[in-house]
Amino acid sequence: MKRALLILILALAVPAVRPAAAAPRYPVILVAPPGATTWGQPRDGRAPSGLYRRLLQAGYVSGRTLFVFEHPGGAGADPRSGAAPLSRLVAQARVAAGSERAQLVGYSSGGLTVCHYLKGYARDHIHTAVLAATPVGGSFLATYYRVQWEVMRQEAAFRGGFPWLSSPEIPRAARSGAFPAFPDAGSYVAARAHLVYAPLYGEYVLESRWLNLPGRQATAPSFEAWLARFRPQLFAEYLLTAAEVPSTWVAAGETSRSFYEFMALQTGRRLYLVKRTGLSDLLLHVFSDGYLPASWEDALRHYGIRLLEVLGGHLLHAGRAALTSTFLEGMGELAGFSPEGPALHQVLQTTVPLTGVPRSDGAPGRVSVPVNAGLQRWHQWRREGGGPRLVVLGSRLPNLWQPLIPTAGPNDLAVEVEAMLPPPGPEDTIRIWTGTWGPNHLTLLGRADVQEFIVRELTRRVEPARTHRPLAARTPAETWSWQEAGRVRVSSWHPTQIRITSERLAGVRGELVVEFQLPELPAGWDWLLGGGDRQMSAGAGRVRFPLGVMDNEAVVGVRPAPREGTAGLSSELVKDVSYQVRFTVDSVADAASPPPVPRPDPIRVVRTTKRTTQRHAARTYHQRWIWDLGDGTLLESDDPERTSMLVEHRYARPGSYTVQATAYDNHGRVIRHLTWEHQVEGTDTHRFFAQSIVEPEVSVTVKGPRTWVTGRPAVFRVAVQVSEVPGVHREVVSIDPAPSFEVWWERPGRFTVQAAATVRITYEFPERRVTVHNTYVGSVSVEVLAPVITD
Amino acid sequence: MMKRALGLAALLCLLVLAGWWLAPRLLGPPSYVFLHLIESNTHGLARLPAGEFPAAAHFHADTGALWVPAAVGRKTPVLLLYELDSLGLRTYARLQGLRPGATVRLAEPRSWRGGPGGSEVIADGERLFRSDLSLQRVERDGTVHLEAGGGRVKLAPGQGWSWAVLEPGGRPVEAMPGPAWEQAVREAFAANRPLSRLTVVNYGRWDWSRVKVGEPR
Repeated sequence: MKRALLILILALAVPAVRPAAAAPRYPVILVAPPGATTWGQPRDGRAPSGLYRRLLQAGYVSGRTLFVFEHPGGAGADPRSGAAPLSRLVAQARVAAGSERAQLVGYSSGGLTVCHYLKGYARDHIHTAVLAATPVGGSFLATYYRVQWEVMRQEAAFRGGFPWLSSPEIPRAARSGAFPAFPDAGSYVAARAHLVYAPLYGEYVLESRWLNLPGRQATAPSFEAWLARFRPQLFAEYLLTAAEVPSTWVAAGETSRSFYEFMALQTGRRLYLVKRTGLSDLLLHVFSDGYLPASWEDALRHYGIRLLEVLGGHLLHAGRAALTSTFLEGMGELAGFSPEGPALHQVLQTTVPLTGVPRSDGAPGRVSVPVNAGLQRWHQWRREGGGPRLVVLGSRLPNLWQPLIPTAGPNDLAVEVEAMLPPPGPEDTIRIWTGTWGPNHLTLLGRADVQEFIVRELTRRVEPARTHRPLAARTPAETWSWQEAGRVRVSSWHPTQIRITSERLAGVRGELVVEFQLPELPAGWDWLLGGGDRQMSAGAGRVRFPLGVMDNEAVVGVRPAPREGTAGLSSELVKDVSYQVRFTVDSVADAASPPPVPRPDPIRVVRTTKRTTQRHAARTYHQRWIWDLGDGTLLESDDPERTSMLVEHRYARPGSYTVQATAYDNHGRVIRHLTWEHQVEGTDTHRFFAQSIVEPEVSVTVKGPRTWVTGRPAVFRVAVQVSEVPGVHREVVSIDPAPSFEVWWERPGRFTVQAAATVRITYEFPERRVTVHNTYVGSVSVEVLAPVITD
Repeated sequence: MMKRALGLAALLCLLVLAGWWLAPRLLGPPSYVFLHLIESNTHGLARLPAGEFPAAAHFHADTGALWVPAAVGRKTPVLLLYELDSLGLRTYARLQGLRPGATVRLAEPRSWRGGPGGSEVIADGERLFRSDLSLQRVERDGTVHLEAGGGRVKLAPGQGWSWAVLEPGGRPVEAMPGPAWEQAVREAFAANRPLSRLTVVNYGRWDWSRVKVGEPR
């Protein structure tokens, strides 16, 4: 018995002998937020701990299969700027481990560095990307509830609580939608909600529900539809824009402005309803004491306690009112979600759907406003069957203890579901820790179960069916080049832009050169070359763009302009300019793969002008006959229709006469000059015949929609018909801007879309060949509408 | 022989007449009158729901198509879409068939918990209408005769009618729409006084064939 007890004690005391961990298949790179040391790697003589230690235990070897990426910019650096140095570390790790692929683990904003690396570099080099509590803006609702905290703060601010918010600049900035005045998305959204959308919702309710006439329009439009109809500028400028948010915001580059505007819209609606229906008592009580907090921690401590006090009072005396308060309601709603359930995916939005937007045929349709560029990219990778395997960790907690922890921010207090990226693929894993005692943003990586989960996911034998290029087939620095030439007509009145865009330009580093062959300009004129906000050097007709790995677009503007101080040069100057675009990749060292197919992807060249063609109708046709019959008789015909002429003449006396017939075109130039030496012997009537050029009938028809909307491409096709003329050779040599082209409009109105066709007409005469180039213009009038929602 | 032929013809006529008489009774009329009844309240929310009550039907006035989530019986001459909204949020919706003499009880309590486990969203006490709306008669051209609040209303296709109560027990506002109505509403809004409005719109007669089951396309 004693022996048995001894064996049992020994068995418990001696650690179990574990089998030797199998060598990891892929190296792991841990990516922390800039300036943070998160992983428990050995420092200052301290032993490894945390996730780092667990990875070592799992068989990873420091410097060979385990790496820590430290952002060279240190604390406060833009996480996105770490993508390039991370790419070098990925290459180093792959070489060190002799592996074709690596695995990345990003925590918090370090996950944003991972995302931007995947966006701009060779994502096929990554087997698994782990994103732990990364604020990619994945959850509209999560961000929405975080905004509620800002709303509460601003409630206090507008009652005089927060000086910086009370300054007149903030309301002004909020109303005009000026981003830079706001330190983060939450404050911007809350201010927009307070000052723009809540009052607008009040107007909407009053006008659409109470003051409208009963009749066929009795069905009131939705708030969004009402805005589209009655505030079209606001709707187009703020809600239907895919513009990215400022780089100073954490999720910059992942979410579009629409994301935050729709959030402000929803917050504003809720704010109005809360105020109007008297449901905001709890919030007002909490913030009505006029306390001026010194810091976040102070604010949280003070208002946390106030919240608990007031909450307790309400629970005792008016429990129902407290439970229906906005803040707790938000938490309660979130508590109903399960990680795998459909409810969660409903809140993960990449687009905001709008119904009732007129389609091109006029019928009401549906559109989706893209709000999250990052999520859309993942969607696309999934559709293409590419992209690394994704493991997402988050926590979602109504953590009631958080108000008592001074270091917790509002983000931790409310919700932490923002790290998710839909939709999960078959090999992807989404794990959300929930519950009152669950981990928060700060403690997530410190938990043993979270660390074990990460190690398990990294060592899982999953072989996603991804396309990737074997390492051996890559050369360290490949080069390829591409070039395209074109011709564009430019005007001094309408600067012409050439936009060069291609997905193929993204992810590589190189130089884009746009070379113009600029014709001579009259005295007092200069060529101006420029391009948006980019730095470039403009030499003699040459524009150079150093393109980084994140760039996939370049814009060059070209325009003849009168020299400053030159008087009398107000007339329009139009010139044809030839250009050549040349792109050379100087390095793809661990950047995106070289082109997968020999033929390059199409690179689009788009011209941005106010006119679809700068060409004007220009014809050369027969205009005039002048006959000299040699005896002093002159005949003249100014009828353009009279392209041939038969002259009958009776000479008064016999003799030798020189007869001349000259045909002139409409520009006064001689088309034909015919001479006959004519011998006259009697008094007979003599006939002379001459033929000039006969212009074929040419019609240019522009086919396309007659009604269109702003912000979407309308496709137009140009049809040219040239009638036959015996003995005349006709050839359509060019159609400007193109046989088929797209037009975008930025604002509504009635516009004319024009296209020009140049026809080369060759006339064969015995004495000479006459060739003319005639340009014919066709047009179509298009009514352009702002997208308006109708119910 | 002659007698037999006549008898056969008479029998055939009788069958045709019987079919003509029975068909609408068995199959229902070929068309229905569509009425839209909207009850709006300013103080009808007990709490904020997460979203709107799902629509009971989508009517496209331009095409006459009525999209319904489930098949509806085709024997009633009138389809009524009743919607309750408060400050722009739909809190209740129902599609029901009406026959002449049928009554819509406006004072009847409505309930919506806003989702599983939620508490009541509709503040019934703030709904100010206490009377009924009854359908008196339907004319062949789609004109309907209604009775509400002690008054009779005749609505031709395309016509609408509104009736509002400014506060509990208050008298209905007769002159709406118009400047007096607008002023009364603005004042009530400014003072945050309860307000209820009932709007009925007669969309006229539509073919049953245009009633479609499913999501509107």
